Amino acid sequence: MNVVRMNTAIKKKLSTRFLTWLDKRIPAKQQHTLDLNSIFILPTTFGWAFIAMSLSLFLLGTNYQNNIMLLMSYLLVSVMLLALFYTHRNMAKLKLSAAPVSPFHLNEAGVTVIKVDSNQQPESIRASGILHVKWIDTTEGHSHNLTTESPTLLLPITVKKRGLHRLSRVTFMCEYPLGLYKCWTHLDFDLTALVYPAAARGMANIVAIAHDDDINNDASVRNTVQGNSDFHALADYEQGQPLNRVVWKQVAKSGKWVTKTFDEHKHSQHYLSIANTIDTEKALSILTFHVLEMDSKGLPYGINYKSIHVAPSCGLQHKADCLTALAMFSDTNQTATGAST
Amino acid sequence: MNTLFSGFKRSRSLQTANSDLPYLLISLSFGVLILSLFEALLSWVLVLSGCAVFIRVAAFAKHGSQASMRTINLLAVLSLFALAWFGLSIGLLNSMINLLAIACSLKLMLIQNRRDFHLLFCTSLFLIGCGFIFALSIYAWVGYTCILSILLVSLALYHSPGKRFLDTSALVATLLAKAFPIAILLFLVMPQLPPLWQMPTAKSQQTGLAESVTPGDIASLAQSSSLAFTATFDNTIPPMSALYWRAMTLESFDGKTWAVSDKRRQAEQQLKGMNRPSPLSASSSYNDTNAKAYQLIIEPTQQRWVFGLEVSAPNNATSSANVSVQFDYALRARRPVMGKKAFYLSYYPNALLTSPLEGFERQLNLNYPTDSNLKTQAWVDTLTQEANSPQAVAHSIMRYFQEQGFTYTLEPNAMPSSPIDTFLFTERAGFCAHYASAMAFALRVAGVPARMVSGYQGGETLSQGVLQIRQYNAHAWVEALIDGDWVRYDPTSMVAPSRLSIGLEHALAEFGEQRNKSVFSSLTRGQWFLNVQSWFRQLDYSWSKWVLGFDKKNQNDLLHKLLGEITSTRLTIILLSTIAIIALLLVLYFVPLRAPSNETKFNRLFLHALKSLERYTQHPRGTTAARHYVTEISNTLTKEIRHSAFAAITVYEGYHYMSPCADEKKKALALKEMKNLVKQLNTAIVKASKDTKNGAHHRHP
Repeated sequence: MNVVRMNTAIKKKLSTRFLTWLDKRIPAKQQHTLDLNSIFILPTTFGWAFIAMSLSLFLLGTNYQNNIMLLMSYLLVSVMLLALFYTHRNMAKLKLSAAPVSPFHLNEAGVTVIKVDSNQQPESIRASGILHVKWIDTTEGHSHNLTTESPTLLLPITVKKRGLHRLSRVTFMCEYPLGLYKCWTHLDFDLTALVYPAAARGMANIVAIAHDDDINNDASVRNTVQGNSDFHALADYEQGQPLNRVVWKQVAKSGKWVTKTFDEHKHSQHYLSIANTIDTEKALSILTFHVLEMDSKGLPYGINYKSIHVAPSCGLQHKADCLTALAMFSDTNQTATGAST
Repeated sequence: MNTLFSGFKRSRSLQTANSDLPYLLISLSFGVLILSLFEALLSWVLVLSGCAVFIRVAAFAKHGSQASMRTINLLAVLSLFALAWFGLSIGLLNSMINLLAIACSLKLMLIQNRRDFHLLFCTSLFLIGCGFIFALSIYAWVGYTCILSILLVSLALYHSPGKRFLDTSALVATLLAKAFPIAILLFLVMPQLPPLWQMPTAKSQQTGLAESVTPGDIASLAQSSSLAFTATFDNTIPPMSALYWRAMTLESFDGKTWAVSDKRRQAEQQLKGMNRPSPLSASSSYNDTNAKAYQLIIEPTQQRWVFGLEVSAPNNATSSANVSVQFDYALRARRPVMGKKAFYLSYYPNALLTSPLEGFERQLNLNYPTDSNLKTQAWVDTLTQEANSPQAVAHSIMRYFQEQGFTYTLEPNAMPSSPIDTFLFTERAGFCAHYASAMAFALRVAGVPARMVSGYQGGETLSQGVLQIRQYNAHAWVEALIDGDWVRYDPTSMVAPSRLSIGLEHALAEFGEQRNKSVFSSLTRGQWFLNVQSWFRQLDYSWSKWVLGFDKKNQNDLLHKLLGEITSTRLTIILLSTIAIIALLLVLYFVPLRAPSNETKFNRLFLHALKSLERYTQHPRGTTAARHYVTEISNTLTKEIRHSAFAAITVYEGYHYMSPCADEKKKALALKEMKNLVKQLNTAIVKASKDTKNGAHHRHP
């Protein structure tokens, strides 16, 4: 897959006026069916050359007073005219939809999954040709053969910053059938991508705050706490719990998934934090790394860094919450002074 | 917006199994194009193109690599040098075509990206255009349209890799079929413009006639059967003996060659400038009522000759703009005939060719080189002593031809020195130019102004009122100025009268010669072949008349017929209605008709069957499911009805629970099955109702 980079120069060229006009004309939707409003069509360079060729044949025919040359040039002009409609009609057969983007880390390559939904129809009314896909603000794109390839497109996203990004429009272009016209559209799939910070190794403070008994009072805590100590009871398996806790013998016997829960004598709840002196982004990356580590070990953890306060817990959802908090962290509360540190 | 796309880098074209097919097709079509142009191309250019096609085909067969850039550059430089060397001798048009062919071949050898392919396509289109300069028949049109369709198929294949070949060709075929009506409409309506500038002409054209005749020249024409022109008369064709088509008058003789006199050219120009009226109107025997209108369609000659029947003049005002009568009664077009052109003339059968400038013409036509052909001069002196009038002199010359055993042949011996002496006294065998030359010279010596006229004689009847005149009908005869009028004398009539009355082929047959000595001559005489040939000639004639001869006048006539007078408002109406018709055609092509899909047909059938069941059993279905319903009423049904009903239900359920991506074939099969089952069900119901009726009847005797 080609790596798509955001070209700041091109971004500047995209005037906001054009984008607002597009927003009015082609509003954001999760699924788009192309129609007159959303399709733009113009001849390609080859198309212009074709027209020039027909014109020169016409001139040749007039000068030689040769009627069949004239007839041929009229034929070429009609072919050009009809190709316009063929190309437009082909593009209008496309139904494009995009699935919500799953969050990813900054150093990973995220993808947008776009589904081209014309392959359900019988072959005769399916869209054909090569569909060129790219983000509106980039130059390099990805070509997809509508006839032979699967109906799912993966369009890579690379962003430079963590956080919640509203994804820009996707440009689809097709030149079927004769390459005389290029037919394109800019579609907004109403997608937002959440980019977690990249994980970086480093030292983080894992502050353990001991909890005196009273765990019994907090029933919810008990269910989610899974320490390493004595085996306490069997509990129903819940999604996201690590698989090494599953009692496989029971599974084989009864088909029901159960996990072992252990009693945690000393409930130590770990809080992750980092000194404020370290650069924010670096700190966030280190915290991300530790979140991932703690999660893989199955230990409960929380975060206590600047304005992020997350109560200790475990599980997939908790991990997502933590990472989201880290991703969305913005430094605005802090007074911007270099001297204060 | 376009700037965004100018940098759009397309990934390398997706290589699939048949990705080489477009290249193969384009090279094949290029090969055929080159073959069709072979008369215009130099031999080494043909070889180069052949190599290019071969390389491309080999690359396709073996998936091998292409030629390198350096080889191509080297070849390019060499070819340009060679073309520059030869270019001057073959003329501008041919060198341009050769240059185009070379560029195309070199590009074919090395196609690296989209741009190259598109370039190749465009140059092939232009080559097709050039092909039409040389070939104008309907076969050429059909052939080139096939080449165009192959080119379009290769382009379509290039832009949609992976699609089946049949699908792509079907697409291109429908595209072309839909484009044709629009093209024809445009052709009928778009105004025919006059040539905007002078185009380079092909040097090696077979013009047939030339402005100078040395006996021995015209023998080469008799071999050619290419069409010179076609004449269409309203009803009857004039008799063969009257079919003299005048091309030009040759009044200057140097002892060997007759040529158009420069003095004549100057005089014509001066007289034109002075706006003197046409000689026909001045002629005393100009009689309007006997005039016969006819139409000429002349093949391209690059000359301004119009072969009018003696004596002809333009038919009406528009014709007069295109064609004028010279003072020697020959017709000239205003512009050279570059493409097939139609002329509308009137023929005055009884008109005399009165000399409009008697003094000048006498002087011009009495000149002869006194030191040439002395024997003839002596002989003429003896003739004049006996004769007492110019007519008598002419007659005695003609009698000489008749009595002295002259023969008509297309292959006389060469007569390099004193040709007329040799012809009259030694050889005594030749063709029309020999006879005409000898007679004209003799008359001049006798003091009778005489000139040679060249043109065509006779013609072949194609159909009612239509004559076709071919290059082998070229003829030369004599005119003598007697009592102020030019009188025609045709010495060939003394020797080979059949040549004039029946035609060249028969005349030669009398002398045991054949016009065309080829292997196929026995074949070509067969009756069926002549029938087929005649049919093709008819087709070609209709093509010429309706398509190629469709010029401004025809277009105006057509519009006139459709709309009456042509005013500017009516023209705008025509323009708007053309656009409307094209728009209508586009709507027809592209707005899909709502044909009932198979699915709705299927459902309708099934529901109809259920309804007939309801009617039969008088038990309404309501909202019950089909299977449930039939099970409910199964007691009241006969075995056959029950059987077909359940079978139909099974098919119905199977159809609707099929995967949505199921084969079209399966769906079609299901539909057919349902049709059969419904039919079965209906017959069973009908039978059952009849039985119950009969049963009821039987119960009540």
